[in-house]
Amino acid sequence: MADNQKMWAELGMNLEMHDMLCEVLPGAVGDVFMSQENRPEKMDFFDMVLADVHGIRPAELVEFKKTGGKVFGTFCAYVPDEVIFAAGGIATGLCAGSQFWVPGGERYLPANTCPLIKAMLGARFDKTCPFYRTADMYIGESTCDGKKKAYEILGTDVPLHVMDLPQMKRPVDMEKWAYEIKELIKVVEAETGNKVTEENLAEWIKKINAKRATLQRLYNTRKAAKAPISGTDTLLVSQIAYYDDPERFTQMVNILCDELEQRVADGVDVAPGAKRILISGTPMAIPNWKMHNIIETSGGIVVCEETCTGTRYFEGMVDETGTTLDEMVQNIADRYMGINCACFTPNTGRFDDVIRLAKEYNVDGVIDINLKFCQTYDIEGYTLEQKLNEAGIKVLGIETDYTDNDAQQIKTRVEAFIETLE
Amino acid sequence: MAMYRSLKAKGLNVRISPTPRELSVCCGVSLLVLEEDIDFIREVASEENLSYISIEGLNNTFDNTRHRYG
Amino acid sequence: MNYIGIDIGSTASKVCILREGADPVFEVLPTGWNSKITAGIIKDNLLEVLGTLEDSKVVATGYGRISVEYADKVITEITCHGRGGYEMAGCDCTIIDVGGQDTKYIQAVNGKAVDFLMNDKCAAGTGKFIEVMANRLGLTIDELFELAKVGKPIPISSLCTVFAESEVINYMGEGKSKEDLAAGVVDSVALKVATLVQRKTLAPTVIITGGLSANDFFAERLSEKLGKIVLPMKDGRFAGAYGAALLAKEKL
Repeated sequence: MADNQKMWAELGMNLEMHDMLCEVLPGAVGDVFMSQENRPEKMDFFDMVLADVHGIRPAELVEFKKTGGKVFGTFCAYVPDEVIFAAGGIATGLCAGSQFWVPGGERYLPANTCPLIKAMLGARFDKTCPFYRTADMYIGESTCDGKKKAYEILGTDVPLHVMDLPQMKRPVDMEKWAYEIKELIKVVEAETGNKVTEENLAEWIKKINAKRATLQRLYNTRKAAKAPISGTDTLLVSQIAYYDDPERFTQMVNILCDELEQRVADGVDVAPGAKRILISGTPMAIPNWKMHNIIETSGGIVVCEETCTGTRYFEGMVDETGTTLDEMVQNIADRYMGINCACFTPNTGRFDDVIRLAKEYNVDGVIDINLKFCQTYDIEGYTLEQKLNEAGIKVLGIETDYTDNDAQQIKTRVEAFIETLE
Repeated sequence: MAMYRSLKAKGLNVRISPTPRELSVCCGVSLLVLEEDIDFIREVASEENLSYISIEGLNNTFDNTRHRYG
Repeated sequence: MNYIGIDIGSTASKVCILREGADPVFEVLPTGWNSKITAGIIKDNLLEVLGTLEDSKVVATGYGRISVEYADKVITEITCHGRGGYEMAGCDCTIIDVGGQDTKYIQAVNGKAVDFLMNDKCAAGTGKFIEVMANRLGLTIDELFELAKVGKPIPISSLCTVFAESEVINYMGEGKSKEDLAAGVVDSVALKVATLVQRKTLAPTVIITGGLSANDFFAERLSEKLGKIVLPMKDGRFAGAYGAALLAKEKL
């Protein structure tokens, strides 16, 4: 364990401040995860990754860097991991899901910026996250205005490349995104000194597709009438998906799925009598487990997430039939442009997704969650609610951030919502 | 980890957890075990030559209604 | 068998006792700083009236609902207001509950809350706003409403209670009359409540519950803002407790 302290010091972290973050983790993990009944045994791998979240994986990244490898930090489900891994780099999600980092971000950003963006800057400038310290380069993307402008500030402290994400989905935009991916290839090639080739790109398209397939397999088990796994546990798996080694992650999720499929066959139910809830809305970066914890202690069970830490991350495969680099890049572009984020206009695909998922997962109601000051999802929430009402699906809109102070108020709303589902 | 696998194989109720702050200042990994299993665990550890730093008792409860997320 | 509803709100706690063949009995007391103590006082009062709680079913609601340790069931204030409001209106209705710390829209169909909305941005459209402003003007809440009836509303545009207070202070500095300011305060709350509930569909019958429910003047101002008649309810502040008692009867 002393090795962690040494590694963190070598990464130039603010140890004293980081220690304060470490102080809250065991309590929160205990309350949120260990208090759950009848957890799947094979959550043990994910428990371990979480228990030493700033130790095990950062140590692997540090080792990788010693051999000359390059680490790329990413923030968004639109950034294609395929090309980074194909170039021999490692992509790792930079999470920003804790209130701990928010005050640090508020030193640079207006108070009415979303907590995800504030935490992103706080984690970097406070030097309290080993992932933020380890990454050689950050890959940003022009999703929302808040992120776009925050990257300008972040880029003063670390090499940062921003991909220009189109805001519409016309044919010209698909081509444009393919162009952006080609630009990314140039950037990662220059950084790693390795070429992206037809062989290595085809290989990584397959590997990342395999990771998506295993997440889909995990989600499929949640369609069962008796939930074999809690939403809280699944959220942790989705969060770890962003930064664990993709091949090991795929293997571990498959092991978990073996157990869950057996549980479905045996009729194991982790939340008997609970109302089935689909969460839609903004991403939940680690360690943001607030809404899942509230819902699952208020008579609900989360059976699906239409979020970036949910179906938006893994639904849709990259077509594997491309043979030339151009074809492969276009196939990658097409898959990522299939994600329906509120930064696009129009974004009717998302309404279709939510309604489809509500049916596929046979939910009793939808809770649409908006991170405070996320303008695009907040505004889109209005239309989403109308569409769901038209489809006869009950919906509750919740706006919140990473703080604890509104937990009781939200609990009242969630409990009342679940009472209306009876 | 070896300890975890061995105890699991013997059918014990064990969970991997972050090390509580009362015990160590580093975010490390610990096993949560039931108090009544402790003697058995010590036995297993010495038989199979598994290493551990210490076994400590903590009077902690998990409260899923505390809603404190850090 | 007795059915008891206890609604521990942020400002006031309300109790309803339902006995077979008798009209509901309502009681109100201030919540104070500790809802556990309040729950204890209510228990003592109940024991005084009923002798024992053994042949009673108790449902607790309101933000302090978990403090009522002797409750048989805990139900949110939204479901309880839906049930109690429906009973008071006597038909399917929209219930607008202006409480001490939040304002709720509840759509009640067949006695069941089927849809709801709560203010989440701040306390501007709640009883708290009126309380803060009355304090600032050196008035009780009743006095504020009396003055408001004869005043010409001065628009208070701030969305935040704290900023609105500064706005009122500025007006006071300019020498505006208390009547006009009081009218402005009531208007401002009515407008904010109207803005909130207009995000949703209103039923043909709209009633007010909560602390301001018996206030005809407020109902009038709110009707004007909504362009729709809003009915004041004499015992509207007991809607939550009444609903809780009814649910104790129906669900336990």
